[in-house]
Amino acid sequence: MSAIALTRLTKRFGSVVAVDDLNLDVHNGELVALLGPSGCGKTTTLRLIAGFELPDAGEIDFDDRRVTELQPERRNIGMVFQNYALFPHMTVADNVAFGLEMRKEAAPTIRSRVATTLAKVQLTGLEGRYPRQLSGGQQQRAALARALVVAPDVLLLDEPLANLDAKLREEMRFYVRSLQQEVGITTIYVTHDQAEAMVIADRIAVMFNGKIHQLAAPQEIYNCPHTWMVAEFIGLTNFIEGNIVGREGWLFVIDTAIGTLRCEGAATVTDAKPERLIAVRPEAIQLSQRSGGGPRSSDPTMNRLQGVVRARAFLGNLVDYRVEVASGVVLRVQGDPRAPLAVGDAVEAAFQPRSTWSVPAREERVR
Amino acid sequence: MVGAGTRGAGTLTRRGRPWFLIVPALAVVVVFFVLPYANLVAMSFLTPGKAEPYVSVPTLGNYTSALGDAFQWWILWRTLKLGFLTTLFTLLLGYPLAYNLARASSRTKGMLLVLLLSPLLVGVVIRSFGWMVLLADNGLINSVVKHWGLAPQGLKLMYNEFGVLVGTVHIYLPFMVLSLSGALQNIPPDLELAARSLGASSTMVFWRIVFPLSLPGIFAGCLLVFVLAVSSYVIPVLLGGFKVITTPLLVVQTAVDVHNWPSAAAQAVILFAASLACIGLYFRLMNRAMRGLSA
Repeated sequence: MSAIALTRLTKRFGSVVAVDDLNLDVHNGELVALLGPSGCGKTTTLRLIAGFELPDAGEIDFDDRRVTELQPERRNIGMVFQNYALFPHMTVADNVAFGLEMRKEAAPTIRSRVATTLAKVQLTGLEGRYPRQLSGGQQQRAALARALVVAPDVLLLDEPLANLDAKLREEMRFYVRSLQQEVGITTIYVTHDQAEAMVIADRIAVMFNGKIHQLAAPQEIYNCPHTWMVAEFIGLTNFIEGNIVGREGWLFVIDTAIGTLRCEGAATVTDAKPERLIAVRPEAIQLSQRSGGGPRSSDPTMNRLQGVVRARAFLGNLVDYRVEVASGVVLRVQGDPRAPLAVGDAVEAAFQPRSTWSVPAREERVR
Repeated sequence: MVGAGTRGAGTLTRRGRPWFLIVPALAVVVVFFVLPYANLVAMSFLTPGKAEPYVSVPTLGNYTSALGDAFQWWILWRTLKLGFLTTLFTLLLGYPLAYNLARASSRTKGMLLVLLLSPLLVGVVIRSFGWMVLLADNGLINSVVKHWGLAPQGLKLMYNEFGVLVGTVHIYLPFMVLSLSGALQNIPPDLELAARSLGASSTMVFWRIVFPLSLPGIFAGCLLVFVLAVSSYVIPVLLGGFKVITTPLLVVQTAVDVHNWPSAAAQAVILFAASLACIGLYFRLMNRAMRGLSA
């Protein structure tokens, strides 16, 4: 097991910069998910770590072992591919034994280690099957066994659950996580599925355009996104544009088209520009019937907006509202399905400054 | 409603199976291949005539004389040997070509395919003449060799088995490459990467992954080239100059020059049977090698 360090890694394909001056430190035994939309460079980063591509610049280290220019077969990695890449002409046992044979292990050692590893992934009894005779989930576990049996320094997973059906995928998330913990192996997990990344990762690296926008624990990524792209990519977010006009303690006071709002924001961001985007998660907003003289919460910092329910969708565990708070400004609100609000109701949408977040405004250049 | 609909769909596909669409192809094969061939087989059991090609008296004489003739056995052996060597060399030369073709980007692939197939546009006779220009006693290669004093007498490159082999290997190479690249293209590149990640060198990746998975292509390509090479006529005539007699040449000579149709028919049937035996043996060997590959 090793820590992985990527230093100023860059990879270009023609004029396209797939990985752009990227730095990443993965601790020993940690699982980091590379999360981003397709084409963000996450798979290229993984292939650079595996040695399938060579970087144009930068270094890759496993602990103090520099592997930047090393052939893949000399890196001691375990890799699981999206389509599993099991060898179709070999049985499950032969597939798992392959890496050990390449390492010239003795036959009895190979036999016992294959058996132990197959037991670990619950494939005992299927040794003699060919990959095409296995279900998707079984193929997935065979691929994991094949990668883990060689005791690699790092485990690289490229969208390993993408080809499974939804229900199995959810199960396998927990399975992969517990297997990784059990083995204690440093792992990089590439996915475009944020829920998968949230469940499985110690830390998530959210990537766009070959750069990591934020590397943090799932909770922090969700609650305190660093950039609007991260905020938009993870979960549902209402964005409200505005300008910083002042500070009240740790709160920003932001002037927007729908009134002056107070919110938290990345304190480290000492952005000279006053333009901000306020990000409000749909579940952070409370709706109440606008009855005029009702008892109001005394909190003066509470953000309050008056609006009308324009649409309502019942989703089982919650209700999804679209509330128009100014002409053309519609907020998504998710709340209690038992709330007696209907389309056309006049409502007050209220949210705590501490449950909102603000990020620097979108750059004008759309990339 | 639903049940009726499903049942209707089932019968529709069964009844609507357009079997009649194969009738034209079937007719062509029957009229121009099966019937003449049946006629040939029948003819091989008839007695050669004096004035007419054959008389309707059944006999096994054509076979007993052919099979009792050491010369004909030797010709048959040479034919099969040339077929085998052609197959071997097209395989060895074609494999790297096919691999690069299969792994080329789609744009390069188109260009490479055109290059590969363009010789087929020229025709066998002209390409054989091309080789004659190169290989003849006073041809290009020999002029160079003599000029540099490498072999003062010149090299015997043509009108021998070597010349014929050069011709067959060159002319049948595209068929081998196409079969191989088809199979190689079906091997996902991820398999090679997976093997590399597990510690396999590129040599190991080839022998443990690529080669076994390309066996179906090798199987098809070898079969195709062997059959073509064994039955080739123009190449041995032009590059062997009637000094390298193979069974197809012998059949034509017997039929056209000696005018003994039944004997020629018997020789053709014997070549057919011998090729079939080789292919049968080959099938059994390949089936063993490919166990586990088939679905």
